[in-house]
Amino acid sequence: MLPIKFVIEIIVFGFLLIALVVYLVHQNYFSVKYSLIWLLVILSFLTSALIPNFIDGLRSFLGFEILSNMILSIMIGLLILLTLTLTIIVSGQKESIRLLNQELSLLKAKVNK
Amino acid sequence: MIPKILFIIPAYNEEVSILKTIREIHSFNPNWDIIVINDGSTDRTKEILDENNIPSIHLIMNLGIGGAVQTGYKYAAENDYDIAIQFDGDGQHNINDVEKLIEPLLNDMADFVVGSRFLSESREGFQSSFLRRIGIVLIAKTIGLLSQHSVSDPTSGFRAANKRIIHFFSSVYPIEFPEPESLMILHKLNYRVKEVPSIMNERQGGKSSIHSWISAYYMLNVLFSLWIVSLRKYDKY
Repeated sequence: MLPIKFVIEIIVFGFLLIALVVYLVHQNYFSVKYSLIWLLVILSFLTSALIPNFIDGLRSFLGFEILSNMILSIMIGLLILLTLTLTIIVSGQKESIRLLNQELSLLKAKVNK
Repeated sequence: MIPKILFIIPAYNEEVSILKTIREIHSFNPNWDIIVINDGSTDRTKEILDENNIPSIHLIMNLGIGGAVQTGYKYAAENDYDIAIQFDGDGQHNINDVEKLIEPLLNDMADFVVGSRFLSESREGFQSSFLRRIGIVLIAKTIGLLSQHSVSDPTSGFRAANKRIIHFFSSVYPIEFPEPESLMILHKLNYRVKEVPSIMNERQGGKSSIHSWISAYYMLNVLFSLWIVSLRKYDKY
């Protein structure tokens, strides 16, 4: 069982992050599509903190001696996943920008002829 | 019927040599069309092209050699050209070799022709530095291994394409390492690729698009991308 102080900290931090993501979506800094992955990560943390003995069960299931090691490892794993997702998005955008640049430049050349 | 021929000239900061290159082409054969793809140059390349009424497309931002050349292929496809010739704006390529380059296309003996510095008869002119040549050999061997087709100059930018390849490249063109990757794709799809001997000059101006040629990282990148290309699926045009 996680110490109650730690559970409260996770809940407060989780809700603050949710508020930040919702604010960023609301202000158009984030698109809904890309905010979902963040919300899912935060929600999964909140749920695991709220279900009694879940974290401890997971720790012994995964074979970690110390809880903090497991949390750090999961965090690193999630960050790698997020970075991979962002790399996919950036690569797609680079392709779109190239295509737009080419088509616009061709069109400009045609108009200025 | 006289085939419509277009010179695709990618240019990035080529204010020193671009006009000389174009005059050379025009004086050799005034019927050949030219399109200069100004790849977001920061020097006077754009002004020189506009002042001299040279047909050009000014990319709104720098795309690199691959993106610039593909823009030329898109232009060639839109304007129904029969043959497109990739010709550098820095004076490296030899105008006297162009007829030799397009001959296999005119005779329908090839779909794509590459001018090679390293074919036996052409061991003159600029051959590139020793370390670059080692890199070129390594790339050529890798393409040979992966595609079962031998190539001698996979990084040559002196190339000519027929209509089929023009349309293919206008939709599929590698951007990161365009010369070796495009050869790999064409071989993979069993297009008829031919090499002809060509003499190259040293650059007259501008900067090479390959900055870290000799670095192991660059080589690893090229070899990895060739392997990825060999695994990918492409649709033939």
